[in-house]
Amino acid sequence: MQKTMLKPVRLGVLRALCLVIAALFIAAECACLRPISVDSCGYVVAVGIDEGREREYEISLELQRESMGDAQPENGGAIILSCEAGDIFDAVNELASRIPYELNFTRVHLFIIGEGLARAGKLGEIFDFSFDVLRIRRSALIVTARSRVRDYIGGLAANNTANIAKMQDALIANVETTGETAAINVSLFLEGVRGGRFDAVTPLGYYDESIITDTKQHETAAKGENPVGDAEAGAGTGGMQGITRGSALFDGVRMCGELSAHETQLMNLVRGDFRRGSLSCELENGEEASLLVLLNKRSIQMELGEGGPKARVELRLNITVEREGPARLGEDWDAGAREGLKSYFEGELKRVFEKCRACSCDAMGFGRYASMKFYSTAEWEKYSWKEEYQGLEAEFAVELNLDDEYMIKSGG
Amino acid sequence: MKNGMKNGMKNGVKNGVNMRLGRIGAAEGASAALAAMAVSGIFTFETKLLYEHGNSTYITLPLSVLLSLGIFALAAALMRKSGSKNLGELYKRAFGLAAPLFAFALSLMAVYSAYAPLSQFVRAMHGLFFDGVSYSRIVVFTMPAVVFLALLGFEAIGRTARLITPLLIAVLAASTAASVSEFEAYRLYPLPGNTAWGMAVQVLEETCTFLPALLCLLINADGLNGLKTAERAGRRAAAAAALICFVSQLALALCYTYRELGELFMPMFRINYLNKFEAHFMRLDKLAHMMWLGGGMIAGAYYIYSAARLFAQSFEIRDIRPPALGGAALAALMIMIEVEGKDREAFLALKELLNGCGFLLLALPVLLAGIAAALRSKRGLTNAKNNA
Repeated sequence: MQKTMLKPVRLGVLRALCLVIAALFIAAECACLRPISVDSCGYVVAVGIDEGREREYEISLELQRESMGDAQPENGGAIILSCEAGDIFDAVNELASRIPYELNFTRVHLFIIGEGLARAGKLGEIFDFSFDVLRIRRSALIVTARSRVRDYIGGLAANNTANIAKMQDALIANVETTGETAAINVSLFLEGVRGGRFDAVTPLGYYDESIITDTKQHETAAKGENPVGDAEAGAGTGGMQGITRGSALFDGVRMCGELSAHETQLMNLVRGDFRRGSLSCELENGEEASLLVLLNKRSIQMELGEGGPKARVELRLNITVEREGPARLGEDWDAGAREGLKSYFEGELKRVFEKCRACSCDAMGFGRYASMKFYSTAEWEKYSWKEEYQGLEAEFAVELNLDDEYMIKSGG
Repeated sequence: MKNGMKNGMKNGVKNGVNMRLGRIGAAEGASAALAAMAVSGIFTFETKLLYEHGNSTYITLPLSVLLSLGIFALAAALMRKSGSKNLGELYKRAFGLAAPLFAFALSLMAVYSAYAPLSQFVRAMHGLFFDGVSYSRIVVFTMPAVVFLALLGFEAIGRTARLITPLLIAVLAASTAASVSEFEAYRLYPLPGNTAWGMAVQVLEETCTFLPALLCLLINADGLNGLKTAERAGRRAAAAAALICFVSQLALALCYTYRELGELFMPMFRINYLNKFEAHFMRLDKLAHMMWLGGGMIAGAYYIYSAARLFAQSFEIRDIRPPALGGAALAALMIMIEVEGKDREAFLALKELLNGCGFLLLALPVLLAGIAAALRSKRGLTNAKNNA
């Protein structure tokens, strides 16, 4: 009887002890070895690296203004710091003497690299630093800037908001919905460079100073001016002055070419990144049509025979005609329009593939399928895909289905 | 309360003055062993060597767990046959006066098993969390919790593990689920990557990581209400550890190619770094790291307590505190040698040697002891029969 009464008491004590231990664990783990106030940090959201004039690089950092302790969000936005330096650590030291706070890189979302550096193959050197030391995550995206990197970052920040975090989301959404640009982060870039199963394709960034930003509209309207009306014909209004469209092709770490927005769409179709969106096409008679394309099925077969590698890409696309022009695509679908579009897509895909192959960029990632033919890493590494890729023959087969045929035929 | 303390003292006396063994069930024992096996299996390997010939760890690690389970089951069966209540007793029966020597060797291996994950966590905290903080300060930050738990004894370790281990599994599942969008099957290729012989060698080498956790159950078998419960706890822990290792290594293999994995320190920490789309959820991985550190501390305490218990039992010291403090100090010293020591290179060479042939150092003495003790007890029975 005594035993049965004692047992629950003992368990209760042990449970309490266990809870104390758990609490101690949590307390110990919440403790801080080097406490830093949030206000004493300047949070870097984007790192821009361009060719320097006096030193090797010009490094620009975009910082969130909110982190400076400003309580009013409308007074937020971004601060851009820049200096010439030998590397990013050098720049941090250089900038430290100019700012009354500590730079914190944990929120870096974007690396923007100047085209000159990219074409000179400097990306390997640029990314050959310890991301861990600066606490930068490898999930940060990479953009190649055609214009001066500092201008491009300024263009992104011109709306008085720290657009970078939003831009990361917007870039990825753009790849899926418009397919007109590419998205790649540092991790994937390094995988492409080291693994040799695909080559990196980065988004291309431009600076367009003629764009009248939202902030400019707001500020000048308050002064009774009309910047939109006063703007020259053709000048864009609204949004950011930093534009991201098209893509840069890389052979390893060296930028070797570029794709237009339309070509990027086709490349993204083969890669399976662009799944549904609007795509314009030029028909045989020179007319243009707009199609809503849905990637329904995608398969890639690879053969590594004696005569070099051969790939067959099969795509099944569901088409909705958005604007067909005089060609009457919908009405003539079975009377030649399907075949015409099919040969257009197949020809265009082949052209984009050949453009990539000419600059030795496996943008469509055929190497991924080639590696599947091997059982051991030793065999795969001996095969040397990058050399074999030069002789790759790719065949594209596109199957088209008209989604809105019924609506068009019925005049709906 | 008074009665509870009285009961606790009674229990302590029953198990030796300060052996701090207590009594726990299969669930607590399995949780402690699982925490140790999972943490060791996911975080202790040197990635450069592990992924050198391709990534087949999602095959080899579960096989190593199963091999460890086989050795554990065999050792337990031999212990039962010889009538030993725990591993210390088995060693005494088998090796007689030489038993402390073998027990000391196994205790050292258990301390080494505590050092291995803790060292990785200390390095991760230094590299990823505490900017500009010295290694020694991080060791001072980490080790007291390990020592405190080890000194509280086996029962406290088991019960704390039962609280924390489900959280570890949940965190692992959440981290893996968060990276599903970036899984790519091509990264598994070339499949299986390594040759059959290479994989077999890897299985044997990796067994050194899992076997100590199971042997610790045998060291503390009397604290688990007997050998039967210890065996049950071992089976449960091994099955769960094999599954966890398979899932986590497969997830890593789908996220990073073998080349990338070879470049990454503690790749499980980086499983969410690949996502192009970064939601706030992805940034919670720092919290996951701290949970895993908690698992590392439990694993450390579990190994250090078991080492101290075996040592105290073999050298007939009726207090586990001095050997536990000594074990913890040795583990801390090894961490410091690895990260800052002058003899770092020599230590790393020794570590490589231990990782390569640790399997033999662990399995052979235990199995030999089992066979010897079983034979002796059989001979003893025959002699008794003849005398009768």
